[in-house]
Amino acid sequence: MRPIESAIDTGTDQFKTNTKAYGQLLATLDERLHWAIGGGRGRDRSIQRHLDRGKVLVRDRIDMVTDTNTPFLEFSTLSGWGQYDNDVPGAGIVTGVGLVHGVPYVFIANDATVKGGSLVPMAIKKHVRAQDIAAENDLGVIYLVDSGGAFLPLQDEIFPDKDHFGGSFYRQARLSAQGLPQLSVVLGGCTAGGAYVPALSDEVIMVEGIGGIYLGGPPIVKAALGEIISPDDLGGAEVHTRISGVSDYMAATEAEAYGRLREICATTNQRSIEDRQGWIDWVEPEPPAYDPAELHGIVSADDRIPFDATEIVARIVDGSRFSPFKPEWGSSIICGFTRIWGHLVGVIANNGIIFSESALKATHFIELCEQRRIPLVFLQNTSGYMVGSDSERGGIAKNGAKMVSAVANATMPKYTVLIGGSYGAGNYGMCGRGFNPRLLFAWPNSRIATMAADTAETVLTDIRLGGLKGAETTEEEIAEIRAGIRHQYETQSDPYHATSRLWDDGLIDPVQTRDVLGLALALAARQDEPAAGPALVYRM
Amino acid sequence: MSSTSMSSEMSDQKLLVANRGEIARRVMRTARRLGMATVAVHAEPDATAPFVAEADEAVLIGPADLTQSYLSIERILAAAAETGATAVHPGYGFLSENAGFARAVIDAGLVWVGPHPGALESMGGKIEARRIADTAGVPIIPGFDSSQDPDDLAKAADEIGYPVLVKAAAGGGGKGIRIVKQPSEFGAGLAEARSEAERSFGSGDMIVERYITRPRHVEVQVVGDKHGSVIDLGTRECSVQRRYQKLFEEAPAPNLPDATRQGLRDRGRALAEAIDYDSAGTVEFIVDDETGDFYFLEMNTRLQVEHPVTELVTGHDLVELQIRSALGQPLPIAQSDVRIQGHAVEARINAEDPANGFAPQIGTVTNLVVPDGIRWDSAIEAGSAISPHYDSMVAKLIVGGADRTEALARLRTALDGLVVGGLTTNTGFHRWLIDQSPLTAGRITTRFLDETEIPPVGAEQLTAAARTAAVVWLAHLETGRSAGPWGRLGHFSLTPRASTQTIALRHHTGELVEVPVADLDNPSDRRARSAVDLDPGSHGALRSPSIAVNLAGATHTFEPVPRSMRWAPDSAAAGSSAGAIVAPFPAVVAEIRVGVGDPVAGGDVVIVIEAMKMLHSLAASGAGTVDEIRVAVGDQVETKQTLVTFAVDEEVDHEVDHEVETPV
Repeated sequence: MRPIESAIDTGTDQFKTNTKAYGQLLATLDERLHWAIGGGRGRDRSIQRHLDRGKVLVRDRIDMVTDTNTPFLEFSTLSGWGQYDNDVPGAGIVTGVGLVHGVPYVFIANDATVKGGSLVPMAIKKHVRAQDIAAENDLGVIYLVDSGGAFLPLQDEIFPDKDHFGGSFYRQARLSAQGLPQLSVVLGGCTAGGAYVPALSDEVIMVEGIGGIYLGGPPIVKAALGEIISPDDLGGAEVHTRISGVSDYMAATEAEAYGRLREICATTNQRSIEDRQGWIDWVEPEPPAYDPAELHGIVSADDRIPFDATEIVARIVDGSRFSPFKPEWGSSIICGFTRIWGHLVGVIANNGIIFSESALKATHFIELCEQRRIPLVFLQNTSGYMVGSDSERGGIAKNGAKMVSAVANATMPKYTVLIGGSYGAGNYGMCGRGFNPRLLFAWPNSRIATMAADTAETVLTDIRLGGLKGAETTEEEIAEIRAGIRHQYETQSDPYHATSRLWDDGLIDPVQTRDVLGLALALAARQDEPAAGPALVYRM
Repeated sequence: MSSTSMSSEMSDQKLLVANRGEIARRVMRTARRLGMATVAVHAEPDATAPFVAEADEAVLIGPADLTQSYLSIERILAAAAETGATAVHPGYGFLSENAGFARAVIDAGLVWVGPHPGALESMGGKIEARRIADTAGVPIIPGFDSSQDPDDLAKAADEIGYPVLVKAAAGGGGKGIRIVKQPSEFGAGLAEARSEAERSFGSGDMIVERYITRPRHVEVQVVGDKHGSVIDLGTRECSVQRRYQKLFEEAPAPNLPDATRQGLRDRGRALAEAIDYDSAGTVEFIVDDETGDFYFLEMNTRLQVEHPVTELVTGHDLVELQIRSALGQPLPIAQSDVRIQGHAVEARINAEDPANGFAPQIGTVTNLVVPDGIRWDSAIEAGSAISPHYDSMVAKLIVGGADRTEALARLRTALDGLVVGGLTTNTGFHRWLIDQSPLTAGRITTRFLDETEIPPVGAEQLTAAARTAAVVWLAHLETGRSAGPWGRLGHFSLTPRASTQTIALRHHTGELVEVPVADLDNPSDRRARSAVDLDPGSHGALRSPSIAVNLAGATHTFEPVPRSMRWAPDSAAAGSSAGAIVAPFPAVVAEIRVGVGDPVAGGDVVIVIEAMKMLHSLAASGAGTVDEIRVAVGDQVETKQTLVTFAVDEEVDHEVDHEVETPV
């Protein structure tokens, strides 16, 4: 691998302008992350109530379980942003990967300071997504259960469909069968469906005084049977640990429960993060030669001005070293081998529009990585595949399809980062959400939509006007249509709109890209090598 | 004497050291250098001690009880016979000044590495020693020893003038001594000192003498041979004492008028000559710091603990001189060859807690880091257990320099680099001491420690030490982790929040300290600012790692406490029911002052225990009636063992009765 020679001059006005603009983006990100992690406005009171009951805040709980001074890779912190009156921070649930005795586990932890931990639709989606991450990465799951159950006003978006509440229990049972430990600590009332999270776990700890499990809570029992009973007597820690056996351990305090949980985790016989299986080539990691903070000055403040993907790669990969593949051909896409935190990976990154040549080059490179068993990293910044007569006659449709097919069938772990635009079929060929990358993160400058707002404004206005078939339209009406379309596209392609809906696994500061990818790759390195993929038909 | 034992060929000799700990190692070191084989004798608790391991041969001679081991002439001589030892070095303490032992050794045809028994006898009793010293022209402190009748002694005290000192005629080592400030206290002081003397030395004979208010303890090292030569190797200052136990010594004694210094050396030699002294010995004096007058205190007819400071400033190996004299060789040097060059200081490292009345400490030495460039005469290695059976001194740190200032500076550096982990020792006390103005000025008196409050170890110090330990522990955890991102990114987070994790560390005194991980993010905290040592648990698989931190000279040792233990529910309440008498440390029951059914009041001494050769009274915390006495005099007791319980209050009994449910 050869060192990348950066052409960036950090002294230029443009670099400074970009850096300043990115500072604004990061300030917004920081502000919204604070919305998600607590404090501010009406939430102070519910946090105080939680603490007054002697309960621990959700992320502090995770701190109490994870190994001292080790990373926590949190997912979709901003889920729920802008939804539900912007009043359900993080969708009331925290998910992520952390280490316990060196073994990575997925954590799924309700945040009882948000609507009592009630599950809104995005909470279910986040819960299920975390379980899917567990399944794909061979990770056990630790459930810190403190939820009032389904958010009933939206029950139709939570209960009936495939990936709704039922799907989470389906997954939990399947994960356990896969040999992935399912461990629960009950820290609140688990009523009705909620009772199945602990009940489906391999081992359960209940905390006295705060934890409860009941298929029907005291009000239902009273209504159905006329029996008046306290929550503790009905389904408290003592009842379930000493009488029913629903729970395996009781703890007087949360701390005691986490001490016990760590003791349990010491006996799960899982591969630790140190147990690299060797199929991903690994050497001692080395930081990039160029400062990742320079990414803030490279990403253009004006999204009409392109930036060079190679400069991005230089600030993400080990030693800023890179072996470009076919550097003289299909230059709007950059492919090559490099290392991230020591792991050998193939990187595919856009320099704008994807042409036929670029698509073929990327397809070739994906096939190379498949054959050599090398994980893939996609850095998306594309307005999509090239249009126009030249392009169509050159077969862009079948060439783009080759890239899409290759991505879809690649068995190697795939990771995607949206570093700029993610538009149209470019999103597919560059391993968008639909193509099941192991993890997908986005930068706060990124945009995702079928097309850019500028394009949509022109295209859709024309279509709309065409649909009116000569009917009288005033300039004002046209302007209104134009503005409406622009507003829709701008709103919907906004990264916060996307991350709120779990179209990604979270927004990250560009400087975190290398570490996030490194953490993700390390999870794959402890797994067995994936089986080779099916053969497919390429249209030639 | 047989011809073999008198062979002047060192390599023909096999030296049995009738002692333990640091002095046994130190004697064997010289013996080895001289080509002699070495034999250690040891009691059961010392089976794994370094001095046993280092000897060419070792013989187990008995249990912990001193009379059946280190004080048993019979067993030591049996060991000598068994191993074919040709010579016996007694070290200091134990049988070193016992004329009967010396005779028994000589009668067994072995070389006695010590003075002739007559010298031991003449200096062994204080009354006799004073008489001989007086005759030899050595100044004697005004005193009285002509009668043992309490009334006569009290009358003598009145004549000498208060305050007076009452001390055991056969004493030494601070036992059997009381200062009496006024006539009304004389009777009690005499009785206490006499009872302690009887227990320690088997004799209750007492001396009454003048008590000097600003005294310095200065002593003269003498060495003689069997050919009539006696030389002195200069003075030592040993004024830093607590309850007559020396803690810090130096050579030569600073700030003495020339006449005093010369007088001390001349009188020291004169006394040695008067008793045909033929080995290494020490003549101890009290020097009046104001007048320069000096008075004979006693003569120690053996090697002193503090002999290394003399070795450093003279360049002579006192053990070698002892051995050569014992083998009949003439002294290799004349008085005119003796040069005192530079200055040397010695800090006695004791397993005791200076902030807590110098209470003896027991435990295991978990960590040991000895700085370079010093002399370290020690009984211990990492992993050594400090048992309650013997003296609390575990090592001596000796440093020399071109002058006193340099020697003290080097000692300061050494104390800042020294780590003795696992239990509290007095290293922090020494670090404090050498910055005290009376010491830096060289004007310290034997009263200094009685008059000066030793600052306790504050919570701030504990926290600071714990932070350093936490930094070391974190670094250790990181080292053990993968070089990948999960092991190297610390508390990486995608949310803007600090970690709430803490590192729980158990201080060796039992206190639990929690250090927030977020507090350690400051890079300056990531540097350990003092000597530290991390032992990842090599001394037995089940032991936790221990991190020892030197802060202000004191070693603070911490064990990380895993969360599964930190947060586990408390097991049955530690200790016993309120009011019961519980042993604070391992000890032997020396005296039981109550019987079952006796009423006691708060503060009444119930039981006396002995550990590290010191007596400790355990008093009732309040009024009550003795219910049960669970131990007998002579019993070995462990920490937290309940010794005596008191009857439960009757009212409580009634309440308990009421709680019993009556069957319907």
